[in-house]
Amino acid sequence: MSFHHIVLHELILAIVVVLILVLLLIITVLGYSFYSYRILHNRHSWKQIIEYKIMERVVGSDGNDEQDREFSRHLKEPSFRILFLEILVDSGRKFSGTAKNAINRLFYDFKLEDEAWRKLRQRKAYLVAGGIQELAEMKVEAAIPEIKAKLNDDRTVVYQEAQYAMVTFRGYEGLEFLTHFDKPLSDWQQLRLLSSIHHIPELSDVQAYTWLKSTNDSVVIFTLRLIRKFRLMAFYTAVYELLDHTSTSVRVQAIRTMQAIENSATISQFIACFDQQPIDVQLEILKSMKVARSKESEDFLKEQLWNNAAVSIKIHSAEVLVVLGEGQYLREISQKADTYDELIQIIKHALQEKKC
Amino acid sequence: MLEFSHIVYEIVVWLFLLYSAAVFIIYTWIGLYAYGAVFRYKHKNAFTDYGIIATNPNAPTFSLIAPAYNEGMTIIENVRSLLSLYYHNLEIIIVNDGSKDDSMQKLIAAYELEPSSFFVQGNIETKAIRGIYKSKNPAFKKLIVVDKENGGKADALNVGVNISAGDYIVCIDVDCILEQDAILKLAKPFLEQTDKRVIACGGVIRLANNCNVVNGSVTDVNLPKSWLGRTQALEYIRAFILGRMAWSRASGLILISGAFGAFDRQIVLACGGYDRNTVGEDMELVVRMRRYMEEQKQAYEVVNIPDPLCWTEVPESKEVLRKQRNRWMRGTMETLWKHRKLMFNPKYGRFGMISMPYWFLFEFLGPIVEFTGYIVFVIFFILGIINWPFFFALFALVIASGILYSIYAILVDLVSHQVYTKKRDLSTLIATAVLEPLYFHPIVVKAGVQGVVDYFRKQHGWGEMTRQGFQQKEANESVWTYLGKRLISALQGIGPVMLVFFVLYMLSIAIEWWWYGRRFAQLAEAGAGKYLVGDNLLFAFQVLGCVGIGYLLLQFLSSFWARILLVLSFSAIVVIQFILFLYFGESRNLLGADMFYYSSEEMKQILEASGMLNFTNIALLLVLIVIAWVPLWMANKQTFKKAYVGIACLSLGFGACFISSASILGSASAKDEFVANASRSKWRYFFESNLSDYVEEHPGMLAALYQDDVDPKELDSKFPFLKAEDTKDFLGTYLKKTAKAPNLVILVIEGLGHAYSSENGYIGNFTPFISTLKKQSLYWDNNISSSGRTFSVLPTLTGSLPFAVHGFLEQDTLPDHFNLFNILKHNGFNTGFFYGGHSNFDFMKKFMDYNQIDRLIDQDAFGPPYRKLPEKGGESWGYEDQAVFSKLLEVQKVQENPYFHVLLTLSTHNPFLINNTAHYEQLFDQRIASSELSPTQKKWAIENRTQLVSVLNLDDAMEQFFKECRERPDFANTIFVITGDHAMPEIPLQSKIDRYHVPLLIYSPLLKEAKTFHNFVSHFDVAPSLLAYYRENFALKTPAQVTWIGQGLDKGVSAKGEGIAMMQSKNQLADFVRGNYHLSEGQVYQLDGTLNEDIASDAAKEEMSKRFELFKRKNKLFFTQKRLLPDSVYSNYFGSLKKD
Repeated sequence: MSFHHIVLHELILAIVVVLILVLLLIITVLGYSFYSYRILHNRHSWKQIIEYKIMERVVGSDGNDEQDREFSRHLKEPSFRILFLEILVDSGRKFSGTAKNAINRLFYDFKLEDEAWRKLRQRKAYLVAGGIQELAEMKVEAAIPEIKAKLNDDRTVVYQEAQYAMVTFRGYEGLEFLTHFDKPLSDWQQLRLLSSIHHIPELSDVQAYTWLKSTNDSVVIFTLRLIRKFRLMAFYTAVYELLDHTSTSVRVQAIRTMQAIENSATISQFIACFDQQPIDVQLEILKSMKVARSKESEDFLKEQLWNNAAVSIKIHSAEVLVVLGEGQYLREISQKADTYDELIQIIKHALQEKKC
Repeated sequence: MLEFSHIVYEIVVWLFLLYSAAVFIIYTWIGLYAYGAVFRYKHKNAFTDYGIIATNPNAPTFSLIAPAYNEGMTIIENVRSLLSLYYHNLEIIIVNDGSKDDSMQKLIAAYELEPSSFFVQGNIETKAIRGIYKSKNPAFKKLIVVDKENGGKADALNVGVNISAGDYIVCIDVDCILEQDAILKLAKPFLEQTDKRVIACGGVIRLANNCNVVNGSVTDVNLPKSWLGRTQALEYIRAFILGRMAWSRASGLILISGAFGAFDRQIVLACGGYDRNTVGEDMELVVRMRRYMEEQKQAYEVVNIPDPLCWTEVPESKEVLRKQRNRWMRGTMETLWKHRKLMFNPKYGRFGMISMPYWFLFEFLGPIVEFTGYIVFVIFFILGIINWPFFFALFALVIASGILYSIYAILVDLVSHQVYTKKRDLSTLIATAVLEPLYFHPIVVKAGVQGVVDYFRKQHGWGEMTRQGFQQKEANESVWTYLGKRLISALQGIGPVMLVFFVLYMLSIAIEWWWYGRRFAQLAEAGAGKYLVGDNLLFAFQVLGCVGIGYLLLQFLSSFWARILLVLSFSAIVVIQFILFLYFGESRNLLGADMFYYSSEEMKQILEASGMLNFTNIALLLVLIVIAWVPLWMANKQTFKKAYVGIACLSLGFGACFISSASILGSASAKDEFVANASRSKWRYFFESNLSDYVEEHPGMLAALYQDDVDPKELDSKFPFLKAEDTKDFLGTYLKKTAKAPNLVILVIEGLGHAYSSENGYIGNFTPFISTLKKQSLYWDNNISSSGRTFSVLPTLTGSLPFAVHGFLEQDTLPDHFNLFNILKHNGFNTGFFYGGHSNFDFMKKFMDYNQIDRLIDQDAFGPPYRKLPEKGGESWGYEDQAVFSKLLEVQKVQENPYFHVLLTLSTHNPFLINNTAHYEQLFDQRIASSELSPTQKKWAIENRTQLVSVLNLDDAMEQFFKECRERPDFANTIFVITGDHAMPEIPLQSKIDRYHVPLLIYSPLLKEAKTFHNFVSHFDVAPSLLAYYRENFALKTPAQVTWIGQGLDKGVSAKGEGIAMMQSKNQLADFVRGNYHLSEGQVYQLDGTLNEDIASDAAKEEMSKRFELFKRKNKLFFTQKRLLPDSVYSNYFGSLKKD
């Protein structure tokens, strides 16, 4: 009888309450699932409509009023507008020239700009970032001041997107923010920024020199990559000076950059600094020598092959010697009776010798 | 035994409930947290252009390692699929792990391979490499094929790691189908790292079963055809979309699936690569990498991305599935065991404190707990103790929660990644979620448990090979060897401590016996010493057994804490033994669980008033603690060379647990309760009392276990004590009729037992005044109180009320009920309570507040010239009885309205200190010298001199009181009820009933005649008779329905009624009287005409036990409901009066 089970009774009651809650949640989740499915399904058909519309505009066969009205009707649906915007931005990246202009026009024609602005002023980071992306992709110059302000936002997504947008708008000049930037610039962000700078104006030296001296290693590395991309010979000395930078990553990038903007002194500078560098930098030097293919490094490489303790250095030295056409020399060594086994293996590895 | 099984039952059920609740909470967290993680990722990557790294020379290099064993059938296609991956800086390393088929030949032919010289730079030890092949065709220049001797998947992966040249390695199963952009998406987290180094990254794996695959890529996604496959599809969604995403976001991920994951090559090499001796190499590697990073104190992350990047075939046969899950379980166990040092280790941050314990508690223990649950279910089912409504409710909840979690996972997957986009797939998945718990889940649980069994059966170890890598040498032994070593070292270590404890404990028993010898002469004669030693010897062995086994189990978790606890518990047992026997020596009472029912304030007062809390005693206690602690602590540092002593002590202890002291020693002097108590092990009593008290307090979920033959009809009512008021007016015939209702004064005398207040008592008459009064009163010489302590006298005497759990007044809030105070007050009486001490004691004030009495006089109301009782240890109990009696006379002026007062005296309470001692000692000596007492009585009396002197003082105070009373005009119209609350436990009791045997007098100038009654009555009968008298003679309105336990003084506890129960202390409801039988602690005694008792026949026992059980049930129903009577009965009575 129940009175024996007061505690139990209360426990059962609690369980039943939770059970009812769980069942209600199941129903809610199921309902929401089917709702989401419908949205997704709609998206699928909408995507076709939008892509067709963009295609029409790009090809220039657009102009059917009836279709436009149909399209405008869809546009009243918020999720359709969001999708349209997404696809538009995505397509904007794929095209250039007149096609891109045509897509941009679509953006204005269907008043999607407001949507993007609204997003920019939202609180959620991803919405703000989305807004910045759209405005930048559609070249809405009026947004620059507001986007520029977002450079100082605390949220990574937002300031990264603002950086990218500034570079998209203003190219090299958009990199101004680097001068005072104190957070690490991830490799991904660096690659994005680099990929959207297409030329460097003259007289840009002053800023880049400042960046090379930045206390933010990632800014230094980015600048080195920039110099490499545009082969800015004038920076050679400044880059060379970075070989004693505290960060190994900076040194590695400096070596790579020196190689890219090499001059007659480069190989001898590499040789001169080699011994003072950590192994990662040494390996980078050898890789650069491989690209440089300079006979000047031959003796140095032979020295490393014979005397350096590190196997990886030996391997890389041998590989560079092969590139320099010293294959015969290596083969001779490997066939000598007194050559130790490891060296023979290394040489064979470098020669990519076919095993029989 | 029943109690023990009940505790086991409770523990089992609650453990399961708590575990389920923990699972519920953690999965709720995972669900919510993963949702955030998935959407954060989705939003962040909405417009990501992966193209920027696909062909960028600045992008990092990846080495994809795919081990292959006998994959000849599909390897060409699989490699082609890998070669088409969209990433520039990529090398693809296929490791042929000594395949016995033609895989190598096929590869050589298809990809124009030729053996090539290759210097292997990595230093992880592996099986020999037979050859390294590269393609002559520049189209396949990314491809490296390694042919090696068979060494297992981990070994093959290690070869790949050794050969690889990339910054990152991607390890996959060669039969996996990767999305074209898989490497791009995996690369992004590595490229995005800033302050935290990303050491590993995994992606979502999806099922390729039943999907269309064209040219190495999945073109049409379908759910598998079999339910087994579909369930796994669902399982993968749950695991990857919810579980791993949540843990990734919380930086707690410790598993990157072996089928597809990317790692920082540098860290992998630093850690020594994959462990070849575990079947769970994927998880083990991540754990080792994390451990490495923690120990290097470098910030790091292990990331999971929710993009579906990899497609794999899952087993669709039960057999293969079982093997796979068996392997997973073993892998989990091996990893957890190998890295056990991290578990709950704060040095490893949330990795050690959260991730590892989570895996241990839920991923590893989950299937085991569930399996144990099935076994427990079967056992309970066989025993017939399943509460079905509870079972079904819980079962439904568990199933529904599982379904909810699955459906939620489907939803999150749907709105984030849309792998299964067909409507039919969605509904199939939902159907799968519903069917899974019944069909798939049991298979997985069984396989998991089998994995555990296999793990132990194979004595899995990490022997054979010692590696140089990070943390690879640790735990190079099997679990069994390890456990064996720990056990033996524990047994060696415990020996000295056990011996020292045994010596200390037995020493304390010797001291106990010596102490009693000094104080109680009668003990030596009774031969109680033998029993005392025997009982304690057994107890000491039982302690050795129980504490020892606890220690052995605990030391597997932490040897340090186990030792501390061992020494702590042993020394505590010794110290408490001293306290317990000293308490007994002082109070002649056994200390049990009742000590916990006094508030700390009350406790302090008791201790202070009894003079125990003085400097000497505290200093002695401290010395005792040191004496008990130091030898044990020193012994703790020693170990025996062999484990024999430890084993012997434990075996003795274990054996002792199955022996009861009664079975070998017989029962100690059954008749003389004091001797019996003195010779018991005080510790055993204390322990058993607390244990049974615990059981009592936790009636638990299995009340059905206690079902017996009590007729359930008798408890049909919700209010088992409620009855129509039918008490006859018994007093009316003995009292003169008056026009006005007489005043009522109840004098409750502390500790006034029959033994020393009557010439027939075994100590004799030490209350000369009361004795004279008896001759002028209605006097019951066979009256029984309701408790062995004061706590229940007020509710019993004034309300004939039941006890609830620890006494009626101990309840948090007093339930509505009737008693003399509230009934008389509503009939126009003034009510009051007079006490010389603190009225908070025993919650008396609560009772008075409930009754809204007009005057509450306690020690705060006194002042000079009233005198307090002498202090002991700086504390006095309160005002002497003379003061309390005078106060009543002072406060209660002569008035028109009748009054009702209860007065409780104090002087006869331990430590029996009174003012003017010399005078009463003189009186005492005179009585001893007189011829009134028999020689035996004299002997008893001399032994209890202090107590009896205080009784003489009380008697004198009462004489004075009545003297003054008689001069008052209201005396003529007053009824006095005089009784004791219980007999003094400090005076040895001759029989069990003596504790309750107290005089009852009704004295009044209104009495027509004096009369002595010999029928058995109790305090429960007083209130019903008094009210019946007032109702019948003065038309006082009394309730029509009442909850009296007593039947009135005419019937008393006669066999016509249901009998009455008595509480020995606040936690002991162990006595029951009905007719002339007394049931006490399971033994039935027959009472003769003067309440002497003898053991009764077994025939009476059954009936008595049944009656007592019925009483207890009624009482339990009352205290669980917290209601004694319906609201209507209560409010009707008081309401109607108000209207009047």
